[in-house]
Amino acid sequence: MNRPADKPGQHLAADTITLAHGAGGKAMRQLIDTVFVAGFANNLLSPLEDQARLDLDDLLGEGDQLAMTTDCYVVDPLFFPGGDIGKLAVAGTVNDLAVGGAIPRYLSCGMIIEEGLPLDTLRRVVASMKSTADAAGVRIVTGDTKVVHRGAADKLFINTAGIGVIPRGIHIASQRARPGDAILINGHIGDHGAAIADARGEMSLHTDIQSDCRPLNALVQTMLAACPDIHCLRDATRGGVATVLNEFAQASDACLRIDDTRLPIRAEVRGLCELLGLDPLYLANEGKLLAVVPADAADAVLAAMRADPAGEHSVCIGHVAEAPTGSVILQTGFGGERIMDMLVGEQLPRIC
Amino acid sequence: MQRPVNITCVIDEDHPVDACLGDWVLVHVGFAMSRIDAQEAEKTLALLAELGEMQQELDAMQSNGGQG
Amino acid sequence: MNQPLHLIDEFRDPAKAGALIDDIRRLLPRIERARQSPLQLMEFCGGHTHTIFRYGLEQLLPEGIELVHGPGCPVCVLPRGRVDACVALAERPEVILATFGDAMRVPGSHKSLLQAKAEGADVRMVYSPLDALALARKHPERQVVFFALGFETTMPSTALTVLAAAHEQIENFSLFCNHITTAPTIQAVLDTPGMVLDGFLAPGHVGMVIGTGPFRSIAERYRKPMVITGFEPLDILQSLWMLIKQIAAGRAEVENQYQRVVRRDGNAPGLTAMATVFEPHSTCQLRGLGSIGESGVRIRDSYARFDAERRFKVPDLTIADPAACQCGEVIKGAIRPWQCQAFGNSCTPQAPLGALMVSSEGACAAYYNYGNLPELLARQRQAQQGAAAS
Ligand code: SF4
Repeated sequence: MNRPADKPGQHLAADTITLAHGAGGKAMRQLIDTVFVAGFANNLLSPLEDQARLDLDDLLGEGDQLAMTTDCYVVDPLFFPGGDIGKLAVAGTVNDLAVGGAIPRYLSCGMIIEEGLPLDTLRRVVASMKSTADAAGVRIVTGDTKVVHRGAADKLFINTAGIGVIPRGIHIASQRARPGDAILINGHIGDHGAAIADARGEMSLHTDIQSDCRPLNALVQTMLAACPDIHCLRDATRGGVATVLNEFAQASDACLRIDDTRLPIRAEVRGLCELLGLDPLYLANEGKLLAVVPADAADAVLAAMRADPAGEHSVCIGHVAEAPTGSVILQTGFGGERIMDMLVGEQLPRIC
Repeated sequence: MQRPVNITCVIDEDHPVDACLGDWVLVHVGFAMSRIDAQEAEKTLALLAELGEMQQELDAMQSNGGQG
Repeated sequence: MNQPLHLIDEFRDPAKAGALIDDIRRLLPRIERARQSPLQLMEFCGGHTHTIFRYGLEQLLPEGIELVHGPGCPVCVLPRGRVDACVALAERPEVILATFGDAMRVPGSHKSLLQAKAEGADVRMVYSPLDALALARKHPERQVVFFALGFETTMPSTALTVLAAAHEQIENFSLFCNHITTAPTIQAVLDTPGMVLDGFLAPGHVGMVIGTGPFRSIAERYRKPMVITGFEPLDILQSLWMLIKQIAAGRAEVENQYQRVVRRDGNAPGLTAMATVFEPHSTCQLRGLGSIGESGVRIRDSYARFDAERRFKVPDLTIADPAACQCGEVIKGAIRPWQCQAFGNSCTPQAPLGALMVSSEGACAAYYNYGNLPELLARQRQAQQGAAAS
């Protein structure tokens, strides 16, 4: 092993990030070599040109459309039960590609670092990005780093952009929900939001809730193998399950009817929500997707989902109906129903 | 899930701190405000179940009456 | 499939709801008054309003019953002047203002606490007043002010927190006290001219603290049936059924549906703590209900050093609600939320004009979020056209 970090004289002098690490000089070069190039370890990144060069033939072999996406990641705390900002930044962008049916291939990584961040923290984040990228089968091929004054950013912000290839014959779109279609989810709702609320420590709660943060591209490919004609697919991140369902309902001019009693929610998450007056349907997820599939394919897709580690607890939570268009209706276990709207602003604990 | 709660309001001479282990309490803004009386809860549920049975009998009687 | 929550899920069992609803249906035609127009039953407490909407209970009830959503959401009845005073406190550089989450969005005349926070005020969300006290311990160089609000349910916890602060001699902690008492507020609703209410669901968590006595005197004085009610859907249905039985039998008593939590004499340690720290305050302004005698409380002189209003010179402002706002009428049950001209137009949860649109327990927000909005707005337009034509 002859990584740059092992060469004498190339160790980073300080153990925290300083403005010098973003100034373009020696310190920055060292940071890039020892942390990023060594950490992400792949032959597309190592030449350190201003751009990654990707082989078109290679991509063309997989499909006929290129998918591209970008997302910024800020999370407090940086490390939380079940994940960290690095895992989030890779899995999130991979998932945004995957739910379009794309096979994710390449990621970029931009970091904005607040001066004073321990170098070790950065190393751990990079290592987490690398292992998540390996698990998802993607490579981080280009990047950029800026260091800002203390207070100008909160520890570490990450942007990742991603490129993937959509195989021929896939037409996933949120306008395609049709009356009769089944609505599926790949497991428990609200784990990430609950884990973060807990990890922030503001509410002095101690739970065992783990974030569900994980790449979903393998799951999606399994689902597409079971039914290439999946109508809608989206991962339910910020705004939660309720928000995605509303997006489907509005884009498709349809009514999504959800059966309250079928929603999979862990007892711990329900308990936290009872205590704080939160609605799990609006809690963020980082490893959950919602699929709208033709009714006759629902069983096959569900079986395929359950066979994947990211979908063991998959269930059908409702179906698409005609009217009232553009709305999501929750049938309560009690026989009543209510409209489930998008969230207004941030969900604040309701206490009195 | 765990959270420290203040139990001032659910202890008294008849029910000291030691006796609280295993109690189900109603917690409001970090304070245990009432010990939930499981027997009363059972009674309430039993009453509702009974009402349900009565109703079924009533319905059965009516539909029998209708046929006969 | 989901693991059940003990002592909660049992009271969400839909199988037991049917019998209650059937029996209500059976009883209603026997009530003379119900044959003329629907019975008006008020749930006083915002927590009940929330459950009713969350489980869609209104649709399960027969036509002869109308639920009127009362003023019992402490966030909703907070006058704008008090919010302004709280914002002014939060904007002091030495102050950390600690508050419950849903109080952060209530609009003052210029801004809410959430907006003040965005502009740099140090506003922290806490789950318990004890967490606010912990903040004071952690930041001895700052002044921690807890924005205390709520009915008797939350009063023992703030009182005990003040007692803890006194005991530990924590000098950088104080309360901005906005507690209100339930009985005078219910009476204010009942005293409203033209008010037709046939019965009350009384707030179970308040009952847990104050016991059943105070409700008894109201029921006797106004001859209205009352049932002290829990917060799960079966609790509410059972209480409605108990109210209907009372009305059918011509009774006007206080009954306790929430036996598992509410004892006749309430919570003795909590009441003692309240009486030690607080004293009744002559009058108190409530948004929509005006000033109500004896409904407020304030901190006793012996604990004056924990009173933010005496420590900081808080402006005492009375600010009228916007002219278009009809929150008062809605709170009193005189009109339904969608009958307010502002509803869904100049007043939405994104930009609330009145307080009832703020908290998810507010009647207007509940209608907006959970109701069939297009239909409600169509009814509102019809009513307007009808009014214009006549
Ligand atoms: S719609 Fe707005 S202004 Fe009108 S009563 Fe409701 S909260 Fe008040």
